[in-house]
Amino acid sequence: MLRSLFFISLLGSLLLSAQEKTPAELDAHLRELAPRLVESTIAIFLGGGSGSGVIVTPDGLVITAAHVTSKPGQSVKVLLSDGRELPATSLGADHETDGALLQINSPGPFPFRPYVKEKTYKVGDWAIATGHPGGPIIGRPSPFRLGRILADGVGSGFADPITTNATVISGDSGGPLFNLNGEVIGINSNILMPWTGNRHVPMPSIIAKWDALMASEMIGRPSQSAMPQFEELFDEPYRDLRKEFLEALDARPADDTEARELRERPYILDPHHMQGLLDRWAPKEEGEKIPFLGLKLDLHKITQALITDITKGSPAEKAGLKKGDLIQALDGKTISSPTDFAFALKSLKETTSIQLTTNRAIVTLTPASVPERRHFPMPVAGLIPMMISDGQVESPPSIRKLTREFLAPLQPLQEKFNRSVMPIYEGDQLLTHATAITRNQLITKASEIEKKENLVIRFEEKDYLIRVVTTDEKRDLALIAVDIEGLEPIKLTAPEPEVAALVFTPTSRGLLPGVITQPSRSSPASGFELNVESDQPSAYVGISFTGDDIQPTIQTVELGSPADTAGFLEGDVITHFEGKEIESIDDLGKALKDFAPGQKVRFQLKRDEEEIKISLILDVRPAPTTDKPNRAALMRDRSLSSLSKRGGKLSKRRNDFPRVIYHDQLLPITETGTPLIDHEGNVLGINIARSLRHRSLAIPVSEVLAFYREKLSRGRQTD
Amino acid sequence: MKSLLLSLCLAATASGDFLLPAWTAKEENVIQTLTTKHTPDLRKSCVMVGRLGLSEIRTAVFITKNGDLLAPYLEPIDGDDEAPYLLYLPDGSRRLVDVIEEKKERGIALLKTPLPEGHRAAPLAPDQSIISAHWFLYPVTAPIPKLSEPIAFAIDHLFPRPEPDAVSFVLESGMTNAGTPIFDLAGRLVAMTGPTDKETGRALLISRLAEDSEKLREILPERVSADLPPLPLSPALKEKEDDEEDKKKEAPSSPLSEARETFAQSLVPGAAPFAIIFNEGKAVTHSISAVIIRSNGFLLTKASELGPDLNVRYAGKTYPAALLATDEASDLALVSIDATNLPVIQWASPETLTAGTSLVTPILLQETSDEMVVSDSMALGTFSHQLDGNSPTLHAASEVTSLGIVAEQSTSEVRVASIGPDSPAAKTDLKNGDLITALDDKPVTDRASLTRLLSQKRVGTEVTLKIKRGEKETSLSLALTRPRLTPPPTGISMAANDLAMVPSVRRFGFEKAIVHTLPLNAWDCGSPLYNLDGQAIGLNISASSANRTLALPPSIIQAAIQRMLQSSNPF
Repeated sequence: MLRSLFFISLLGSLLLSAQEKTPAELDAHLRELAPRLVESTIAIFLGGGSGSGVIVTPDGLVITAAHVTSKPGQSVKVLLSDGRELPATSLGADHETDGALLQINSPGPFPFRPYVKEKTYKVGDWAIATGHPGGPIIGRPSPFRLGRILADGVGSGFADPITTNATVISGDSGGPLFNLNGEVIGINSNILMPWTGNRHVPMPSIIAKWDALMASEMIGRPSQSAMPQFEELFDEPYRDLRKEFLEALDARPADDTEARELRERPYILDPHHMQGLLDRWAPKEEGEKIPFLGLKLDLHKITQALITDITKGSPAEKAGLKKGDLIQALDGKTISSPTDFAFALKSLKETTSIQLTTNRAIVTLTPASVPERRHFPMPVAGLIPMMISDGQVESPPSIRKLTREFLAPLQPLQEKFNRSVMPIYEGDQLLTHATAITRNQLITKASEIEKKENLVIRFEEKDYLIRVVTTDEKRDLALIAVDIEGLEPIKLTAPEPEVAALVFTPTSRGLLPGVITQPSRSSPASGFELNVESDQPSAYVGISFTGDDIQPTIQTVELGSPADTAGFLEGDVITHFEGKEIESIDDLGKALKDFAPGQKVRFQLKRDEEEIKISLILDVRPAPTTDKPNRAALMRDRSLSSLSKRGGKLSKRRNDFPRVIYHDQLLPITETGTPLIDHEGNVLGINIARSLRHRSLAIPVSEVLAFYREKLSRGRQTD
Repeated sequence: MKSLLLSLCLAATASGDFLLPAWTAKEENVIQTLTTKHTPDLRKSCVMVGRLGLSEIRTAVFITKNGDLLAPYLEPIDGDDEAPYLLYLPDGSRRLVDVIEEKKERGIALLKTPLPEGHRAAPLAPDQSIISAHWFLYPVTAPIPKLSEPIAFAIDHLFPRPEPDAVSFVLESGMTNAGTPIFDLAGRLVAMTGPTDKETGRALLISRLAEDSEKLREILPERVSADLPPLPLSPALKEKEDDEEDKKKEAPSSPLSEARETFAQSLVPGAAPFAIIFNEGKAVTHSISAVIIRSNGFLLTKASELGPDLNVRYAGKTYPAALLATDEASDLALVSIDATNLPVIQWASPETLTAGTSLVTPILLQETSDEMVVSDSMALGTFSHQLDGNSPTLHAASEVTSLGIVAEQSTSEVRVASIGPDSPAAKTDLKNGDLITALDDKPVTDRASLTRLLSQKRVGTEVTLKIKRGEKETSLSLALTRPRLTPPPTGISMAANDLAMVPSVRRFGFEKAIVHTLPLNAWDCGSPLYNLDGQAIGLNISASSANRTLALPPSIIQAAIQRMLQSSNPF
C-alpha cells in the first residue's frame, strides 16, 4: 500500500517536469490557445449585476457559479464574446460547492471548451483564468490571466477549492479556469484578500453533482439564504485555526494541567493565543522566528527591568535566573527599562548565546527560538457576495522554485538591462525606476517624482542627482537627465504585443513574469469606462433616427461608421433587414440584437421612390463619449480599487492614460518606470501603474516615442 | 420644536449654491437635545422582527395603534414563502405575526400584531418635512441582540435624489439594508429604505410607498397625502476628483456634515494623546489606532489586530515599537516606544450617559488609493446603551427549539446528517441517515415543515418522531432542546453592504461595553471616545457592524492596564 502510493507520487513529479514548457514554448502555446478560451467565455446578466460563465457544449450548455445564477429556472441574458446577447435559463445550482449550470436558449453551434471529469491538475501547474472583471466593458474582450495552481482541491469552492495566483475579482465569478490543454478545470468562485488568493470551484466537484445539476436541482440553500454559510466564515475568520487548536487540545496528555484548564474555558477569542499554544504543542518549521528567554517583566517599574516570572523549562530558568532579579545589561548593552529589554531582544538577529547581567550575576544563555507573532488580516466583505478573507496566501517555496527554474533560460535578459534600468531614490526611500532611452536621458513615471527635490539615481552604490527635463501629464511620463558613465539606452522598436504573450519586467529581485491580458487601448479615468448594458445591441451600424418618428427614417449617418462606408444617406427609410420587413425603429433594434460585430448583414432601403439593397459588416459599438463620469461606472471603479488595495499597493495614478498595454504582473508600485519586455528581450513599453488586482499597465513604445518627439518639437520651437 | 428644526437647515437652503454653513455647539446641542428626547419614544414604536428559520433580526415600526407594523421584507430560507414572521420582545419572548402584504421589490412587508405593552405607533411626518430637515435617525439592530438590549439609533444625512425619482432619498452613510425605517429629528416616520440599486441605497417616502400599496393606503391616516408638493432641487452633490473620491467611498458628502466634522475637531484636546500603530505585514498593511497612557511612551491599543513588526506614528514621527503585554479579556495591549514627555489621556466617567448623547472619535487613518494614510478627521455619532457581555442573546432566551440534530443539506427531506453529542437525541436510538417522516403524528415532508412544527413546541417538551431506516419504520421519543449556538453573525449583509465597512477581527466577548453608532472600521479601534465636553469616556474596541461600534468604559480599561502592568507577556 505504502509502496504504491510512493510510486504514484514519483510518477506525479515526473509528469510535472514533463509538462514544464520553456518560456518560448509557453508563449507560443498561450498565444495560439488564447482566442479559443476567450471566445468561449461569456458574461451573464441577472438582476442588477453580472457574472461570467464558460460554454462547454456546442449547443450552449454553460458552467458557471451558483452564486451567479442563484437558483434553477431563472431567465437570464448572456453576452457572447462576439457581442450577441441571448436569453438563457439557469439549470441546477449547488450552493455547497458554488458550481452551477445554465442553458442558452438559442440554436447553436456555439464556441465551446471541453472540461475535465476528474482531477488532472496538481500544485504547480499553469492555469488560465478568464471572465469579465467589473462586468463586461464595451469593446473589451474577456481579459486572459495566467497563474499557477497553489492548492489543488477537489471539493467545494469554499472548503477545498483550487487556489491560484491568476488574479480574479468581482465580475469574474462563474468564469472558467483552464489548464494548458484549454480544458476547463475550475470555476472562479471567491477570493481572499491577498492577490495570490484566487479560489475556484474544482471541476470534479461539479462532475460529482452533474446529474442533479442537469436536472435543474438546487443543492444547499439559495443565494440569499446561503449567505449565513459564508457569514459564518466571515464571522469567525479563524474557524480553521480554532478547529486545529481544539483537536490539538484534545490530544494533550491527561497530566497537562494547562490543557485541563483550557478545556474548561468555553472560548478563546484571541487568534494569537490559540496560535501561540499550537506553536508550543506542535512547533512548525516554517515562518519567521524570534528569540525567546522565558521571563516576564514588571511593567510598573519604568526605570528597571525587574523579572516577575520565569517560564518553566525555559532558557531563563536553566540559566538560573530568578523572580526578583534586575536585568542590567544584555551583551554589555545597558538595560534600564522593560522597553530597553524588549528592543534589545528584538534586535538579536541570530539565536546564538547571549550574556545577561543582573544584580546578582552575569549569566550566559542561548535563547530558544519561537515563531514571531502572526499577522491576522481583517475580514473583508466584498462585491462578490462571498468575498471572505482568512489567512494570507503566499506562493509556497515549491512554486517559487518552479518559477525560478522556468525563468532560468531568461537570465541573460535580466542582465541585459542592468545598465539601462535605474532606481530613483528620495533619501533612502525607493520611489520608482527609470529606463534609459539615450546615453544621458531616462524615462520614468512622472507622478511618482513630482513635487520632490534632490532625487537621485543609485547606481553601483553611488548617487547621481537627476534633473527633470520635461513631463507629460496625460501619459504620466517624465524625461529626466543624469550624468552616469556607461548608461545603455534600450531600443524602442517593438510592435504592440498579442494577447496572451508572455511578458517580463526586470527587477532587482529578478524577472517578474506575466501575460498580456487584453488588446492595448486607452485606460479611461474612473467612471468613464462603461459597462455593456443588457438589452443594448453591441453591433453597430452608425445611423440614428428622428426621435418622434416611428418609421425608421435615417436622420444622421455617423462619419466613418459601417453605414457611412456602405453608402447610407440621410433620409433613407429602412424597409427590410436580413430579408425581414421592418416597420418601426423598435423592430430594427430587436432584430439587430441577434447579430454580432463582424457579421455581414443585408439592408433594404427606400430612397425617394427607389428600392436599394445594401450589405455591410457590423462594427463594435463605440463607447458613448461623455464629459461627466458615469455614476454606476464610478461606483464600480471605486469598489474594484477598494477590493484590490486590500491585497497590496496600487499606484496612486493608475488609470486615465491615452493608450496602454494591459498585463497581469503583480508589479510592486516602486517597480514602475521599468521596461516591459517579451521573452526575447524586446522592449514593449514602460510600466506605468499597478492598476487593479488583476491588471498592471505599461505605456507602449509608440506612445513613449510620441512623447519624446513632442518634447523634441517643443524644444525646437522655443529655440 | 419646529423652529429648532428649521434653524438647522436655514444655512443650507439659503442659496442654490449651498454655502458651507457654520456648525457650533448650538447646532450640535439641537441635534443632541432632539435625539435624546425622541430616542425613548422611538424605542417604544420600534420592535425587532425575524422570520422562522432565519438568524437575522431587523427593526420594524408600528404605524397604527391597531398594530400595523411596517417591517423589512425578509427572504425566507429554502424558498419557504409560508415561513411566518416573528416578533421578538426585549424580555426574550416571541410571537408569530400576521402578514398583510409583502412587497419584495420595495424591500418591505406589512405585518399586523397587537401592540405589545408599553409600545406605541410612530407618528408620521408630513411629506413637506423632508424639505426642511436634513438630519434623520434610523435604527441599528445588533446582529444578534442580547436579552433586554435596546435598539440603537444612528444619525444620518439624507439627500433628496435628483430626477426622475424625486420622492426617494440617498443616505449619506451609504447604509443600504432594505426596509429600514427613517425618522426625522422630531421622532416621526419619514421613509423606508428600499433594496439596493446599482448606485446606492435609497429611501422612499411613506406616501410614495402607499402609492403602490392599497393596503398601506387603507391604514395610513388621511393627512398623508399622495399629492406630493414639488421637492426642492437637491443640494449639488459634490463630485470630487478621483483620488479624493476614493477617500470617501460613500458617494455623496454634504457640506453640513463637513461643517459638523470641523466643529467636532475643536472638541478634542490640542496635544493629542493618541497615535497610530502600523505593522507592515508581508502583503497587507495593517494599522490601528492607540491612546497614550504614560508620558514615557506606553500606548494602549486593541491586541488582536497587532502583527509582528510594530511602528508607532506620532506627531509626524515614526518610532519603532515593542509589544509588552496583552490582556485577552479586554483585547487590550500595551505597546511601548522610546519617547518622553508625551501627552497622556485622562479618562473620565461621567455619571450618566443618555441615549442620544453625541460622541466623537478622532479618525487617525484613512484608506486611500494605495495605502492607509494619516488623517485628521472626526467621526460623530450617538451613545445608545451599555452592554452586558455576559447576558444571553435574544435568540438563546427565546423559545427556539431543536431536535439537536443536523439534517442533510443536499435533500429537501429531513435525513439526519449528524447528532449533537450532548443533545437528548444522542441518548436515543436515532442514527445518522435516518429519515424523519413525522413529529407527533404530523407529517414531516421537508425541513420547512419540521421547522414549523418545532416552532409550536417548547424546550423540554417530549415529542414522538416517526423515522424510516432503510425499509424499516420505527418511532422514538425525545425531549426538545435549544439549538446549539454558532458564533454570533456580524449582521453585515455582504450582498447589500458592499464595502461599507471593515469589521474588527475580534468583535465580541467583552465583559462590559458602551454601544454607540459611530461608523468606524477595524483600524479605527484603539482610538479614544469623547463626549461633547472633550472628556475621554471610552476606548473603541470593536467595529461590530455598519454604524455599530463597541467601546470599553474606563473601569474595564483601568482594570486591564493594572493586570498588564503586573506582568508583561513572556519574553
